[in-house]
Amino acid sequence: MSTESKIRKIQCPKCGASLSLCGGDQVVSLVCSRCQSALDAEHDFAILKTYQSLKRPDVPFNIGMVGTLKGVSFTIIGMVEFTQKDQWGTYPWVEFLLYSPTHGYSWLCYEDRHFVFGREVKDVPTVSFKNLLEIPIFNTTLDVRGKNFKVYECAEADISYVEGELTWVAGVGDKIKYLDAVAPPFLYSVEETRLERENFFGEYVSPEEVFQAFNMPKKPQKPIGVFSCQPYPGSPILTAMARAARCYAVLGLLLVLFSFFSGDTIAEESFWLKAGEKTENFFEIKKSNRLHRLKLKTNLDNADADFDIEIRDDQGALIRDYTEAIDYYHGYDADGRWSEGSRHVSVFFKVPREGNYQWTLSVPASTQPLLQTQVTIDEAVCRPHYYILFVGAMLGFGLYPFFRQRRFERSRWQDYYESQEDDEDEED
Amino acid sequence: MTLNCPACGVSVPTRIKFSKLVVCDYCRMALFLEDDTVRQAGKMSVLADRPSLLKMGQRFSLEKASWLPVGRIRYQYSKGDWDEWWIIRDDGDACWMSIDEGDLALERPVETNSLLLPGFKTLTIGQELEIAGTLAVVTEKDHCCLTGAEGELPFTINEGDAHDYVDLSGPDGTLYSIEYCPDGIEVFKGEWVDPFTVKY
Repeated sequence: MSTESKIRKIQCPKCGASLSLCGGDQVVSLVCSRCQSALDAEHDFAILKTYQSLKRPDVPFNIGMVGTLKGVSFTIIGMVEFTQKDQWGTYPWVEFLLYSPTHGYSWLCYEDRHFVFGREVKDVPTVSFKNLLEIPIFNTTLDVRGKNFKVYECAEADISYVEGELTWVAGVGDKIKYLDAVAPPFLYSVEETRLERENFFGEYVSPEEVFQAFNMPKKPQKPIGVFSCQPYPGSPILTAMARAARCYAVLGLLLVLFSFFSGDTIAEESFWLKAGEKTENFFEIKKSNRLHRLKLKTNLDNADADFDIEIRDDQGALIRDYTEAIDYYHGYDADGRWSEGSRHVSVFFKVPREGNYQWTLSVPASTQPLLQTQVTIDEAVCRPHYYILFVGAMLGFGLYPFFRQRRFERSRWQDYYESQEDDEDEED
Repeated sequence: MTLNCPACGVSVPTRIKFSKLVVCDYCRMALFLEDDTVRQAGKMSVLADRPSLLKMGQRFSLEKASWLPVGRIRYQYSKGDWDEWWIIRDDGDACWMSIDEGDLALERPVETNSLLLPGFKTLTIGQELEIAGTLAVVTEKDHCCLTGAEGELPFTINEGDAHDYVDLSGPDGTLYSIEYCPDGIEVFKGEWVDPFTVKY
């Protein structure tokens, strides 16, 4: 059985243009695209009014085009442009009236090159608000068909252009109040004219899908900004990789924690270090192919000093030498006790083979004459630096989708956040 | 069950044991079924072929249930015509699905004994009326005429049967239809159905 709608042809009573009618029995008015006369479809297409020089909006579709959306073949039978104005600008959008003999009438909304496919619904409770324009945006939610919709916009708009067949007598200059609430990719809209209030349920459709549905020869232009009900275009691959990265980050954190407790203390000595003199001692390394640590702690107080540290083998050959600065200052001020610096330092070294080694420690003669000092040798330690870098990289990659989505949502609600900032500026 | 059409002899299958009327697909004779007898009840016009969401004998799913359209009546009114489909759910429950160009409604009869219903002429578009405890608004007032039928139906009809009717809209998609028939007033309560929820 064919799903194509039947087409009738009439002649415009004003200009004689041949007009095709394919909009079904609920069409009430028809606007001639040539002379812009509005005709009464219920009274032998009597002329209701003739518009002068209406400027057709720049849209990719024309009346009569056929396309398949949601598995249903629709014909574009009419078009209405609405324009909303406020102190910041003028915001037009176009709604194409679609007709299917099996599914009736639907709307294809076109704004900033985004598309929403919707239809009037009767099974949802209409909002109980008496005035659509007084509903708080963002913080008001509506439960519709089991989904939580957040109010996105409440405003008034004028009809600025009409063309083709429509299921009501739409006149240029007619006003509507509307409320849009979003639960991406869905849009719930309430529209109120002076005669009635109607509910619409819509779903965001990508421009590529719409252009493909109508067999458009060219690709659609890139949409502007983020649309109210546009779903976040998450990437399943990116999401999976980010999830894996977060798991690796947790593993990395465990390794960082492990590194702080790694190593076996094989030598520890406490002594008084005389400034200008060397102190030395021996220690035995059993795991030659690992990293080892020498920790130096002192009782340096409100002073700083450069410590010369040498690691030598049992033959006296120099393995590594270091000059490490330690500074520690403290006191009291108006905010209480303060301190800065540290009284300890660590150096890391490797040795060529197992065996006995020697550490030597000295400090310049100008330093505090006697320093209580402790030297500790830890064998087979892990430095956390690389693990920390690894954790940082994994966290960055693992959290990237959150920040990407957060930026997307901020774009969606940009107008709301800007109005909040304006309100705060006014209060200041 | 299968019976032979007394007009043309073709085998006419019936799916529903309580069907009162079945239209022979071959000769378009309406056959009245009563107990074990089959009487000819007059010819039915061939329904003009047009796109339809429902198809005779083809199951569809709606609200997690499977339905089978077994019969159809077409009515003509001032704006065109619409179809009333007799559909049977997989558990045996049956009701009407009214379809008018994408406007779908599931309808069931309402007991009228306790209802106080005004006369057809006294009702006006936009008037509020309380039906079975629900406040509804008159949205349509018209006259219709039966122009054809096919399949199986739960009652007898004749081509050309006409009646006045009033449609009303209640809250949350509830619909009411009051039919002022020659042999009495019938009331149907319906619920609006989103055509996109009908799946095959």
